[in-house]
Amino acid sequence: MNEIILIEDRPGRQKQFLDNEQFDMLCKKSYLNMPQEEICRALINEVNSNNTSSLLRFSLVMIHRSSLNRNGLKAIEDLCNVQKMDLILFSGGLSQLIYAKEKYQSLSLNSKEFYNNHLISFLDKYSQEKTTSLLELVYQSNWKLELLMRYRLLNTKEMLEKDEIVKIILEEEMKQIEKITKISSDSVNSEINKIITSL
Amino acid sequence: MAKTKYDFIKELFEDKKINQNQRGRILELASREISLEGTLEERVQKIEEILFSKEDEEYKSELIDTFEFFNEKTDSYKENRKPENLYKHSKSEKKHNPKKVVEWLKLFTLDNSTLKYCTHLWDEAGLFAEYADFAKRIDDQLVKYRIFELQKYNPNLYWNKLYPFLFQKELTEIQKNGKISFGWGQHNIKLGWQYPDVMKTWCNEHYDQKGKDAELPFSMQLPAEIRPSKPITGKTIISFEDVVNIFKKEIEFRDNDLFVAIKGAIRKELNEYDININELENLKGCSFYTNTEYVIKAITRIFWMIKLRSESNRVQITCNYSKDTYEYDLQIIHFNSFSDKEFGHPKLMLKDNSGDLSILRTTLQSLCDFSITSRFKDQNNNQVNARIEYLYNGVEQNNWEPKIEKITESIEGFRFNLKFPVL
Amino acid sequence: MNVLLIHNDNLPTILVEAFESSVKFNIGLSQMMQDGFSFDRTSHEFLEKHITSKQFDTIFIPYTLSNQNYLELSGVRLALHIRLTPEFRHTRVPIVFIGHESKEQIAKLTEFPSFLFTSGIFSTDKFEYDSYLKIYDWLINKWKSDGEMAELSPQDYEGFLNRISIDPPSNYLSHHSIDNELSLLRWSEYLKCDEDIPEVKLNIQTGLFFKYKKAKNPIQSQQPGSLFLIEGKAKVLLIDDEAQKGWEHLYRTLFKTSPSIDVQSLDIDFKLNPSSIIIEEAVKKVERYKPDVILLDLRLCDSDFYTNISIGELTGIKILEKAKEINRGIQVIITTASNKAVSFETVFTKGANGFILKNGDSDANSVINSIRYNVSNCIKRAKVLKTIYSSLDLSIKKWDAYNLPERNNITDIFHDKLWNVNLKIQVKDFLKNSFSTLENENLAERFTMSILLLYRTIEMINEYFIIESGDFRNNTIQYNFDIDNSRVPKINNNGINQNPSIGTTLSTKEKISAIYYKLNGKENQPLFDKINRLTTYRNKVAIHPSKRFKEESLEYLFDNDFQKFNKNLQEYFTAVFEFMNSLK
Repeated sequence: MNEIILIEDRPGRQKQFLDNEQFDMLCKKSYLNMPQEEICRALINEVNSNNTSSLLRFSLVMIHRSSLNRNGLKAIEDLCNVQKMDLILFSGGLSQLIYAKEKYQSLSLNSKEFYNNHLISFLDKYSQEKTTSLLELVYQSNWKLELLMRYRLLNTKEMLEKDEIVKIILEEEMKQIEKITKISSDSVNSEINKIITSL
Repeated sequence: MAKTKYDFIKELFEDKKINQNQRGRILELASREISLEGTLEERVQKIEEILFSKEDEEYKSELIDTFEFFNEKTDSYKENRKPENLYKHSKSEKKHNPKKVVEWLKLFTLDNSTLKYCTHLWDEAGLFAEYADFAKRIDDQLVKYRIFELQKYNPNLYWNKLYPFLFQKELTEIQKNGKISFGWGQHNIKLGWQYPDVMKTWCNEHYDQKGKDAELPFSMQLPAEIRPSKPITGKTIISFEDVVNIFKKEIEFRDNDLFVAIKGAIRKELNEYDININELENLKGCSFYTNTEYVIKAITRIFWMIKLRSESNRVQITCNYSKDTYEYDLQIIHFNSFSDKEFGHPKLMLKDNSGDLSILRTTLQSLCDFSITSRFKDQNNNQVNARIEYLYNGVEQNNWEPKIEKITESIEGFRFNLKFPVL
Repeated sequence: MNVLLIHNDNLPTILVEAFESSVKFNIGLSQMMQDGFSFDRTSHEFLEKHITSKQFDTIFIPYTLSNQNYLELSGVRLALHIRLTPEFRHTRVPIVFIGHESKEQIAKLTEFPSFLFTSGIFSTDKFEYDSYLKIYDWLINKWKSDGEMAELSPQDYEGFLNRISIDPPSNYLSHHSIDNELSLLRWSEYLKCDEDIPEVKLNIQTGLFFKYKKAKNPIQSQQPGSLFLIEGKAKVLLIDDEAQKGWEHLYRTLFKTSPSIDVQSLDIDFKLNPSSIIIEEAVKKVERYKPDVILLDLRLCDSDFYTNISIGELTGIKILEKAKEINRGIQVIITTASNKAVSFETVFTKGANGFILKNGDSDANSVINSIRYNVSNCIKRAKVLKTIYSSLDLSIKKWDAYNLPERNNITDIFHDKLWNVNLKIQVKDFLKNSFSTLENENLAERFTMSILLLYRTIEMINEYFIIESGDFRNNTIQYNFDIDNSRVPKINNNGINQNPSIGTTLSTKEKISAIYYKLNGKENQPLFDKINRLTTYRNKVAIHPSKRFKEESLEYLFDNDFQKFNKNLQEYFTAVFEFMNSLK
């Protein structure tokens, strides 16, 4: 089971977006650590003082971005780099969702998007499979649409590419997506159209 | 006949009381003189005349090394007069030691070393107060770790990669003359840490003495005149971080780099060949420090060699890590292709330093141990399976002689073996 | 082809290389993790750098600029920045989106669907450079009619503004924050101090939502020559959880033309502290700093945003009440970003002296002038009221502690044995009412009426300490002290007459002088003179208002000679307090 931690220093925010039932459900999840009040503040202070040892056992860290100062952000970044830990940063002020995947997955999004109705089901899934894409939190079952659209563009780029090395790199990226979605370049257009039409 | 200046120079050289440094200066003076007369070829011949007339081998090799300093395109006269560069005048100091090279390259990950920060984000506060501090420390590291000796091991890695990217501060004479322009690596990148002074100027404005408000050098956007005009490996190069990433790729294979490079070479050279794609997958994840350009150059040459033999079009390429010896063992096997040359064949023994195997030896010097395995013929014309090692531990002491080892196991064809150490 | 291609190495290399002008937009992981990172700010800075200095006819951009999340559709957001930022000089230029998807498909996936169908937005699913040449040719030569420039007309642009809808960032603090930030943006731009406020310059001004609001409701600039002068010195305390974000700087700029105004703010971490701590710290600050005016935001911590919170529970209201307890003369101007559940009346009932609504759509000119007017008035009032209240408070405390001797002689039907108790209460009430009357701007002639109430207190004290018998009409009047029945001396400029003859009348001033002399054993000419002036005012101006004395009235002086007004008023009150404090 993959352990997850949610560090929210503004409990009022949770109350704003989650109803009591949802909040209670979250509290009951055995894989989820949600430090409250003093413990939460103490943990944030630790991270902001470059001490992330308390977080080592988690596979996914979800933290309110504004609670971190410069040192804290750096400490989290280092932790995720070294431990290959996935990261979600949420904040009220973030206007554009940004996702990156290098050594670890990183998702930066608005609090409202974070505390959506699918948060719990996403966390359930992630606790079972660490390879779950963080984009599933946002797009739910449509996250594969993202893969297909990206695949299609990669395919176009690969077809027009003259540099053999670049072609190979693009092919490898496409193979990764084919493995997950079982798609091929012949069927990708119809698959995408089908999904978008159903939206 | 009246004495010419050449005669004069010759006499000077013959005077054994003259020391190395003096010889260097004489030759420099000579070159200035000689450079004014005749074509380039005539000038070179003149110098050869002076140098090679002596029979004293040791003395001759010293002169040859000094001569080489005219031939090395990236040499600069000033550079070579520096104490740390004097060793360069000795050709006999060509070395083969892949582990040593890896040690040097691993300095780029060594904690608390300045070299680490040449290729890693300056992620700690107060690392360097200002650029000058950083530059001085790089220069100190050059001396501390005697990195300049790398040129004895793999000159290209030093002169074409490390030196211009890290240490070079000004144009070399040849670069000043416009014969070649400044640039390093396969893609001829026009910017290093210390030359031109773009980074220095930028740090002056954005980094020096700014404490936690400093912008970090990796974020510097490249000026238009330095930016590569075309994408490199599909990436538009816009920041210094991009440049650093290119350098890192010059000195290390990581993740799928080796796989992609070899696959690219296969597509270019062995497109019609029967190569097991699934087996190629084992090239993924092979990570080791080396001169990546030269490794691929060597592999490409191996492919050319394969193409010259029409016996079969089946090739296997594998790269496996050995936990016992801490090395990656890259093997390229051309099935059903056998050398069947006699052991003493000049192309096998590299007698006249020519031929593909000789070039491979030069290319892979100090990058990996290199050997071939195939079926040969002994002096009695009997077929013998053997391994011939061209680059191995102790090859310099053995006068760079290939080492032959007969083997009893069966041979599937012609095997090229490259062993890359991982410390 | 004078066009620009924006990409992130996610288009075919051969296409990117074919463009003469192309720029790469990439946000790396390390950039995302930097303190203060914002997509809008990064986009703004990127566009500022790359498209401002040269004029392009068309901009090509893929729908998405992410290589790891196609649905990010950041190309659309970037295009909106181009449309909404006049400084980039490309607000009307045609934009062509690149992608396999149709506009209709992308409309289902982006948060800005209507934008895709506004004038000047096109799309292509081609990736060969030749196609782009054709598109460009069509745009330049065929898109618009002959003679028209190949760009959005003013009507097109207005249509674009009307059609699109951009929501504010879904900030937890909801409307409060948006109005707060919008107001900060608009007012700081109006005052031309926006460049100095990092929050405004880096975050708010670069935010897409704020650009949109600004485009829909342009901000005017301050007219030159707007001055804001007050007399004397003043101290303004800012209590606002967004003070460090830029409000303190904005107010300082606002008051810059009055160098004698000192501005401080309550320096506390509002986000991390509960309401009780915030109130505690605010009280300490008010006691230490003794401001004349407090600019006080109502909602200062998270609990203030709970939906069912009543106005009385708001941290700002509690601080208002505490501040007034410390000194009712301190003027409190409520500033708030939201007017939900808060009305002017409610806030004034709680004691506030002014109200500023931080409304994102407000006319900056009138708001700024209103703030100036409000603050200026409040400073003036504070100068009057603060000192008086301090002294009043002290005097009342002393009066409460004073053991007023029981009256021995009760000779009229208006008083009884508990006269001393009643007197204690009445004097206190009259003093408080006198102050309340001063405060009450709705009362005509409030100053004069206040003086009348004030004067009544000393009359009441006189009546208590001195027995009057006989009748002045038949020269039989005489005055004795109730304490010991001794004769009340007549003290005036001619000296002290210990035994004035029967029939000699005593004025209020003389009675007060006598009481003072009786209890303290000495004279106090300065006090007696002040009482005299107070009495003169009361008799001449207060009781008999007429046109002849109008220019001597406090009301007249308040409007025409504030310094004299304040001096006189303070003196009148001080005289009464001094007298009362001298009672033993």
